[in-house]
Amino acid sequence: MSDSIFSDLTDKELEEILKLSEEIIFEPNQTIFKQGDSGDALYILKQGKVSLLKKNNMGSELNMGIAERGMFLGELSILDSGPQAFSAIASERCITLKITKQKLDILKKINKKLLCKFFISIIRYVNYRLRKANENFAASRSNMQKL
Amino acid sequence: MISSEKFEFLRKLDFFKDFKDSELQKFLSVCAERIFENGEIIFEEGSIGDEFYIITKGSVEILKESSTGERQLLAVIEDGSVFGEMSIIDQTPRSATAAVGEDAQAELLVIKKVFLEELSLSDLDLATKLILTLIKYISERLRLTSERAYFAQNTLNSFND
Repeated sequence: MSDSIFSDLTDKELEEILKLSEEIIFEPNQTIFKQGDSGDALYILKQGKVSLLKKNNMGSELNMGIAERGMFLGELSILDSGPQAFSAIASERCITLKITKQKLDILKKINKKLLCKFFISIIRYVNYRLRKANENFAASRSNMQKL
Repeated sequence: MISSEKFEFLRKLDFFKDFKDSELQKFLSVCAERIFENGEIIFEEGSIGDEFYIITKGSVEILKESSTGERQLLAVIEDGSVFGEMSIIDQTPRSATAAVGEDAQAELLVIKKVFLEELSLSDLDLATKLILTLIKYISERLRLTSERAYFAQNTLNSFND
């Protein structure tokens, strides 16, 4: 997946994006961000696994799944400036590439076209993931109906 | 709708709140206008699209085929709604059908992807603003959809446990 996320970017463009990023390492159980935090950065998971947790209205934390190598974290907040929808906790040692909103604001000034292309890649990624989730949901629902 | 009416209509929409009057005028110049009526289909689920729409008058039905092949009404969207925008960003098939109800009529602004590409050559700033506005709009929608998907998945999991 990590190769195809950026398939619309040229090598040179991808290099330019990577230049904006900073490698950040998280140790097991370390929090990457918390649900409700204002989204000021996007992370690309280079290595390791991350648990995604969501608090429900009863206050208990539900496991939303595991993010793996090649996946984004915090991507929606970077696009719409909304709060983080869940918490991300490193479940093992993780190497991430962090791209801050500040850096992307600079990119907006110097290379609008690249910023748009980068954002479009993220939207496609989210849309793809959501379609998968919907398919899985539809499949498990029809399995349930058979029971 | 005459052009000054269209302008006033768009001016009130939240979607265009970051657009200056001059930018909105220029945006209007790349829109076409179309009227759909009496059960006409705007696009079919599964087809590949290259345009998105803004309803300026009337309403549009969003329908989805169920596993048994019946078309079910998912939602009715009213004037001021933006729809079909994912096709501008992603070449995936339309996720639902959009149509006008029987004995009903809807006026739409149609924005073709190719017009946006032309706009990016003549006015990159405006084209960027429009793309970033669409991205923000889509992102807010995806956020809602993913919340619902997670919620549904969890409810299902709790039954399976």
